[in-house]
Amino acid sequence: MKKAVLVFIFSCFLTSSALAGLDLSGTVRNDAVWFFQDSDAVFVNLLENRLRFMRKTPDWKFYSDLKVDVMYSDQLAAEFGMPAGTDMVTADLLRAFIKVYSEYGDITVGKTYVNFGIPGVFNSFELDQKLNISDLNATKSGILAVAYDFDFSDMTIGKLYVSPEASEGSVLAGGMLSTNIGSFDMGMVMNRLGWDDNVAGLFLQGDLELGVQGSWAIHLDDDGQYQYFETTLGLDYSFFDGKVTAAIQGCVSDNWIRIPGTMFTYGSILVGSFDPLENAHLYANLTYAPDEFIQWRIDGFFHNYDASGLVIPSVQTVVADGLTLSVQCIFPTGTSDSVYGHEAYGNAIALVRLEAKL
Amino acid sequence: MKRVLMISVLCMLLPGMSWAQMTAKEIIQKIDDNQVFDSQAFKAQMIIQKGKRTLTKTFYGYGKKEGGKSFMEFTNPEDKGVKYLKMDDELWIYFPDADDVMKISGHMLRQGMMGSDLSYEDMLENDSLDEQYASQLKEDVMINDRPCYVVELIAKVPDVSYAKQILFVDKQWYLPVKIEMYARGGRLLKEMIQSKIEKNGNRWVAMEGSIQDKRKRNSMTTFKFTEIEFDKPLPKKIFTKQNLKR
Repeated sequence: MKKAVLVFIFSCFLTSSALAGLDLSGTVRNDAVWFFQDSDAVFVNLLENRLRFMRKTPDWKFYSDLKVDVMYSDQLAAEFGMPAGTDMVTADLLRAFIKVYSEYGDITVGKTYVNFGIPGVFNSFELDQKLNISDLNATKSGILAVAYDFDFSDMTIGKLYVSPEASEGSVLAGGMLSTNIGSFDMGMVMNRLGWDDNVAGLFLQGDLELGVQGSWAIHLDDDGQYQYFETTLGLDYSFFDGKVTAAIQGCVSDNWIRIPGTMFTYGSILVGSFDPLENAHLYANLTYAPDEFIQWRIDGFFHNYDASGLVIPSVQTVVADGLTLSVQCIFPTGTSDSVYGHEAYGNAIALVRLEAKL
Repeated sequence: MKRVLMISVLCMLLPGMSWAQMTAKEIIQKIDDNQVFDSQAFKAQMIIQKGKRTLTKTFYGYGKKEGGKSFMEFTNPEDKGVKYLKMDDELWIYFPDADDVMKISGHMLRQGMMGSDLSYEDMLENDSLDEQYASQLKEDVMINDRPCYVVELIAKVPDVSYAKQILFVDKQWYLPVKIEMYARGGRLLKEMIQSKIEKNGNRWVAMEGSIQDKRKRNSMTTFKFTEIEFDKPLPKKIFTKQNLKR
C-alpha cells in the first residue's frame, strides 16, 4: 500500500513537472554499509533517491525537494537495535515552498529551511542540529514557516520568520541581521525556540590570514533569565594553492542537557545513541584534493572531556562526469562506555557510496 | 609604377611603424580598453580534463566594473544552482542543497574554481593590468602565423595573483592570445591560450580558450563562451547577497 502511495506521488510530481514546465533534477545514491560489532558484521544497503522540482521566474520561485529511501538490512541488524528487512521504504518531503520577490523583500511560504549563523559542523543558531557524520553536507529537512528576507544594502541583509513547528503550543519565531565589514561577515540573531527557550547572540566569519569563524549565543527563559551559553570557534587554512586544507572547529557550553549535535552515524539507520552529558566537542579535518577528480580526507570528532573520538578517513573519486564513488571508514577510539565508544558505534563502520547527479 | 610600388610599400610599413612606436604601457592600455568592461553578461561552458577524464560545467554570469562585482550561477546537473557573488576581493558561494551562503576566505581564493585550472581569482579578475603591473616590451614573436607583441608584466602591488606575467598580444586584435603566469621565484605556474577571436561591438573577444596549471600533470581546462554581451544595463539587484538565495 505504501509503495502504491509513493508511486502515485511520483506519478503526480512527474506529470505536474511535465505539464507545469518544472525543472526536474535529482540524485541517486547507493550506500553499502558494514557495521562491525565484535565478531559480527551487519550489512545495510540504502538506495536514496532525491528529486528536486523547481520553477524560477523573475518574480517568484517554486522549489520542492523529495527524498525517498529504499533500505535493505540483514537479519543481524535487529540484534543491534536497527530495523531489519527488505524493501523498507521511507519518504520525506525535505522542502516545498514558494518564494515571491518584491522590491521590499522576499516572502517565502511553505516547508523551508530556516538557518541563521555560519554554516558549519557546529552552529549555535541552527534550528536542526542533527549531523550526519557520513555526509556532513547532507540536506536537512525544512520546517513549515513564513519567512521574510529583506536587505538594507547589497551586503546588509535580514530575515524574519514564524513557524508553528514548536512544542506545546508555542511558536518558533526569530530574526537575523547580518552585514559585511572589511573582510568579515557578521551578524546578530534573536530566536524563540519554545516556551522558556530563547536564544540571542552574535556570529562572524572572515579572514585574518587564517579563515576564522565564531559565534556566541546565550539562552534565556521567557523572563529574560540566563539559562546557559554556547560558543563556537573555527579556524581553517589551505596550503599548496588550496590542494591541502586544514580546519578545526570547537563548541563549548555550560548546559549539561542540551545536545548540540545529535550525531547520526548513518542517515536514519545506524543511529548511535549519542547523548553527551558534557557539551564540549572538537571537529578536525584534513583534506587533500589534488584535482577535481579525487579527494582524500580525514575527519575527526572528539569529545573534550573523555577524549574519545571518531576518526573518519575517506576517499572520493569521479568515475565519470556526474558519477562519484566514495569509500569511508568510521573508527571509534573510546572505550565501550565513552561518548564515542564501541557501545554506540561498534568496532568500526565501512561505507561504499556510489552517487549520480541527474 | 615606381610610385604605386612606393605607396604599397608605405602602406605595408606604416602599420608596422605604428606598432614599433608603441610602448608597452600603450599596448597594455589598448588591452585594458579592449578587455575591461562596464558590464558583462555571458553564458559559458567549462571542460575540466585530467588525462582521459573530463567534467563539463555550464554556467551564466554577469560582471560589473564598478565595485569589481561578479555573479555566476552553474546550470550543469552536478552543480545546479550553485552561485557565486564577488564584491571587490570578497567572495561568497551559495549552496542550494543547504540553502546557505558561505564566505570564501581569502586564502582559499587561490583554489581551483570547481576543481578547474582556473583559480577563483583568475575567473573573477576584472582589474586593469596597468594598475597592477609595470610593463616592459620584449622582442616580437609570431604565434599561429600572426605577429604578436611580447609584454612582460611585473607586479607593482602585492596582492596580485601572479608576480610576473608574459603576454603575447596579437598586433591587430590587441588581445593576448597566450599568457604565461609566473610565481615570485620565476616558476611557470599557468599557461593560457585564447582562441576563436570574434569582433563584439568595438572590441575583440576570445570566445574559446584553455588554461593549464603547470603544477598538475595531464590537466587542462577549456572554456567556451556561448553568448557574451558587453555594457548592457543590468538590474541592480543582481550583485546582492539577497539575490544569491533567489
